[in-house]
Amino acid sequence: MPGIKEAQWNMKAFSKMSKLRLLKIDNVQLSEGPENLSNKLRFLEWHSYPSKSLPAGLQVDELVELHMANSSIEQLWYGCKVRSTNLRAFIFIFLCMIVVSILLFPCLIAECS
Amino acid sequence: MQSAVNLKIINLSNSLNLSKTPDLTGIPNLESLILEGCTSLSKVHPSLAHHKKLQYMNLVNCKSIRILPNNLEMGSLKVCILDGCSKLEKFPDIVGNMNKLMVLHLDETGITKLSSSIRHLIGLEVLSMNNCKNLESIPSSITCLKSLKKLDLSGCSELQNIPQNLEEVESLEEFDVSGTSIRQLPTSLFLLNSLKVLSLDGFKRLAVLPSLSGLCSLEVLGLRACNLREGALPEDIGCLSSLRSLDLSQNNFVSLPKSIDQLFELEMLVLEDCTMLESLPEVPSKVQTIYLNGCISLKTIPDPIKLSSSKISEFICLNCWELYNHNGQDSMGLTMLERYLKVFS
Repeated sequence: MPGIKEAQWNMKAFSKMSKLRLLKIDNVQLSEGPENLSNKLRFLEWHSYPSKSLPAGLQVDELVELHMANSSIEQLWYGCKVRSTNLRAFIFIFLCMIVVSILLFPCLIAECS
Repeated sequence: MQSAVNLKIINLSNSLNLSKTPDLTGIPNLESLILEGCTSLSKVHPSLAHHKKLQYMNLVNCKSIRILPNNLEMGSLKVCILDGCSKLEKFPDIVGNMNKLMVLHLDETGITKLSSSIRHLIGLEVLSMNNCKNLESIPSSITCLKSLKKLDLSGCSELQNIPQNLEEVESLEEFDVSGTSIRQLPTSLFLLNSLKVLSLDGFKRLAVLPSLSGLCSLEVLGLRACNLREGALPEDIGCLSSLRSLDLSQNNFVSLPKSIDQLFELEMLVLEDCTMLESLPEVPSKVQTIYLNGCISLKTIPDPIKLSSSKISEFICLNCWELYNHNGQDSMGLTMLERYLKVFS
């Protein structure tokens, strides 16, 4: 893109801007993305956003517009991880219960008879 | 799953590494999803198919998408643009209310046929499928689209059949089937009195054109390379009282119907490479542009050609060898200019 400049920014700075509501970044090529962004963001425009996804802990409840053309995003957010961990835990407990019941079943039969 | 209840616009255009669309379940109020040029995008989350608030969806040139979630029920969707999704073979079935959809662009997609469920798109005004090189047929349920104004099927080179009862789409204003392999044109097409633009370029099976008098709103008529011989153009072509542009290039007639001079709204007349054409009749007074390039047999043109003086006018006749012979190659331009100026002096 014409006019785009490379720059080195301290990405930790964004973590301190906890009340930021509007962020617009254009014409700059950064090597890394922010670790954190304000959960209060309502408008986020960041051309050529350098990371593979939005910051992991970002809450987007208040976000209204998201403009990220030419970004390096692979997946907007990886929010499903927690869900799948929960699901795995649930399946594990369920299987354990089945195993325990199978083991206890002969004892129960013996008890009844 | 992320919750973004206030999010209305997602624009990730030209994000070349994007592999999947987000789960939209947690984004219930999204109105615009713009993923144009995301060339690695292959997985579209199933939640898209029944999103209730999305109005604008742009997946132009998402060249890795092979399949979209099926059974669409998107009650707010107004515009859906999938141009250039060259691997997409099927447009999803529609199962629920999609009455709001007005514009559906499927240009240059790999779609082979449309599902008959498109009859549910009762609000559709524009269906554009130009250069869908794999498109084989159009379902007859297209005649249920009572709001359809524009149907563009140009360049769908495998398309052989279109529904014969097209007259039922009374709202139709633009119909373009140039460059298709359609075997038989529905005769009802010539009864569509709302039709403004009709392009049949390259349609070789038109032995004789039917009467055109029913097309009373027609403004643009394209009959380029239709293998039209002498007498194939109906004499009633002069009835097209709204016609502004007429392209009859690359045909084989020797003369034009005299009634051409009745086309009082005509501004542009294109007759390029009509190699048999020998004479040009009087042209109507509003004509600003005449292209006669390559009319190698043309001997006579009206004297003088009256071109509208109100706007920029063009009269181009390259390679009209006979015309030069008859008029003297060197002095022709000057003679014409002289005569033209005399008319206005």
